[in-house]
Amino acid sequence: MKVSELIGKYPVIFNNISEFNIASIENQIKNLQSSFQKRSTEIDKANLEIKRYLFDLYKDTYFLKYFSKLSSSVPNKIFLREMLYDGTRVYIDFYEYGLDTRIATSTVYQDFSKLYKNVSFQLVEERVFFSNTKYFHYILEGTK
Amino acid sequence: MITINRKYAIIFSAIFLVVSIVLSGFYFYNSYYSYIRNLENLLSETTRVYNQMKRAEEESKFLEAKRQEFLNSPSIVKEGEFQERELQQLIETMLSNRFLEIDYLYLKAQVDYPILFEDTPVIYIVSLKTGGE
Repeated sequence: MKVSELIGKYPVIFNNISEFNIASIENQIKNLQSSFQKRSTEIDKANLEIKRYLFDLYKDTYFLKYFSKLSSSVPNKIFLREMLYDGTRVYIDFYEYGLDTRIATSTVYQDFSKLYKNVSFQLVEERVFFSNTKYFHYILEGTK
Repeated sequence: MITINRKYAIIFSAIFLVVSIVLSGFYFYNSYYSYIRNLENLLSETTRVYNQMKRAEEESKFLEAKRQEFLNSPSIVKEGEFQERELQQLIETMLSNRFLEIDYLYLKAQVDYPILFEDTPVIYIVSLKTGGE
């Protein structure tokens, strides 16, 4: 097989070599590969920066999404007493009503820890509220 | 001095010539195919790097579109009292944006004790500012 025929089978290289010189074809291809690699590395680096930026933004609303999902998935009624987010710190104070708590503390802690640091999820109070219905007072905290 | 028969000398020379030609040919083809094989590996590797670069470019376009989506998201500023239903709508609006920068958010129910009955409206004090251009 001729070298020109071989290169013809790789249109990417064929189209990117301006001057076809058989004596230096290997060096030309190596230079081309090096320029592709350099460009690929630059784009990957820029992509990583945007991903970090978007991930940081995602953390800005994750606690809201998570709390909304938690409220709708738990069969007991949830009462939000206080919520605070100052761009860094998340603080959620809420009550759950029911015969027994249906919130898995360890699951919430693990889910929150995936995105936030210094996570704390505590059942601060449990009391009989009405008849045999109890309320469970929780405080969920973390930092971005 | 060793002398050999002319006939044998010619035969020996002819054999030597044939073997030389065969070995030269073998060496040439071996070198040539080795060169072609290496060149093909180089071409294949370069194509792989090119495809990797193209994938990175596609990902870059996708990520840039997401970044623009955030930059075009409206800024929300809310201060005041909201009923539970209004607050729920506000949160739904916020969460409809995939990416939203919250500068600050503060919600507090005006009651400190638990409310159990659905018909008892809960008023929240809300202070909210989100980013975006």
